[in-house]
Amino acid sequence: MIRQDPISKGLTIMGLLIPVFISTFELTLYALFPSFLLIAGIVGQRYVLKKIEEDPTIDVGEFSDIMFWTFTALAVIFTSSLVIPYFNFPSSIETETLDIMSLRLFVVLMAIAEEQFFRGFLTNFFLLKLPPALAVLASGSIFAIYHFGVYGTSFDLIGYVWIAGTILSYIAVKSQRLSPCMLAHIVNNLLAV
Amino acid sequence: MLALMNHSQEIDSMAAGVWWQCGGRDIDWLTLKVGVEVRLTVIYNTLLYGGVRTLINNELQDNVTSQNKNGEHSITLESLDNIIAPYINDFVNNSYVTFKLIFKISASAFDVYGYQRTAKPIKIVAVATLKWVEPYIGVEGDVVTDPSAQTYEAGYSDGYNDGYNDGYDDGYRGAPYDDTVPSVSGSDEYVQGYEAGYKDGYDEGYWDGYYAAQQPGTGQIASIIVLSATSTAVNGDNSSLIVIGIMAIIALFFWLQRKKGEH
Repeated sequence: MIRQDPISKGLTIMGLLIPVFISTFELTLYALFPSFLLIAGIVGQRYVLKKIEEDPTIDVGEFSDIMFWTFTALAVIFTSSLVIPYFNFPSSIETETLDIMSLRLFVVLMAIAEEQFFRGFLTNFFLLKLPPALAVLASGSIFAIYHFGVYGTSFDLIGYVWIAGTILSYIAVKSQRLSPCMLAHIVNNLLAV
Repeated sequence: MLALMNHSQEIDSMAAGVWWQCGGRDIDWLTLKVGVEVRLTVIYNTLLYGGVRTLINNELQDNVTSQNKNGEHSITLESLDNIIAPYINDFVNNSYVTFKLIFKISASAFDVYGYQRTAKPIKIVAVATLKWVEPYIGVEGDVVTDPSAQTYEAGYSDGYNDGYNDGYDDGYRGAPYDDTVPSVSGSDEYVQGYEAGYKDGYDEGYWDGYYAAQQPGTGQIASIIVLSATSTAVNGDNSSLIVIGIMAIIALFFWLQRKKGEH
């Protein structure tokens, strides 16, 4: 079971506040989708899985564990980008119209929301139904399909997202925590803008 | 009829350009090929009522190749209103239309050893977000009667004064204003004093050159491509390897910390 801990809970609370900031100061609805995704992830865990496992404290050893998995995820994700030639993050409307500060907050929100939904809810859901390896592959694949909406049918980009999603799911299962995936996803998104 | 506004100025066209410089070692520059592809995306955003809609998605506008190490290419969308014309029936007043020109610059050449080298393609985006103001047409009516004739009230005198006196004069002054002009019963004459005019926002003349009406902030954008035949990194760019290395070292550090904690 992938657990929540103070880092993931703190980031989630921050994620719920980001749309308020963006909507207020940018007068835009861009933050609406990730907000709903985040809420859907939490609601899914609470009402579909019917439990949210928590680790209320983090000691030094656990912190090292979280950092180890975070940077491992980043190293593997960045390595995977090398095997996809000419990889460039596509620019989308939100990346062009938002102020740079709001844009950074937006990609942080996207990372938190996607992790709560795809790892916190979906991977946990598959773990209840499937063996861990299949659960990881299934949630990574759904994560890639979801990105068709952003990247279209560009298969090299989707391939990259599939690798990244599968790695994040694997690390969530291995570390039994959501926070390494959230941190790695946030860093990855911030480096992309 | 134009209705795209930026700070109360009507915008009709958008221009953007890129320039490039190619550099690198051991490249046979005579074999250089620089490709510039320009694509247009138009997004409609009502902000509050209907969300965001993509009107034109990544449509190819231009595709040129060059052999110059240093060069530039620009494109002008001369009539933004024509581009969005098929969609304006659904537009809401005071919504926003974003025009996004995406330049993709790629370059390839053979090195002096006969191997083909390719620079990592670069995407550069020029964006203009303009406010959509609904086009409008106004009619100003005025009745002048001969005192000797029977007078009438046309009913058009008030209610249409919308301040368009300085608007476009299309030469209809004195011409009959179609069949809505009331005829006067029992009179031999009536005076046709109607001015039909329309306002298209050109307060200072009809066409004053598109550069004056061009969306500011979309000037030339710089881009640099570096080709290198001697670099060992993918596409001549080793920054990714450095980042990966740093990530791996940090991960290793925390792995050792973890192991130390276990003992």
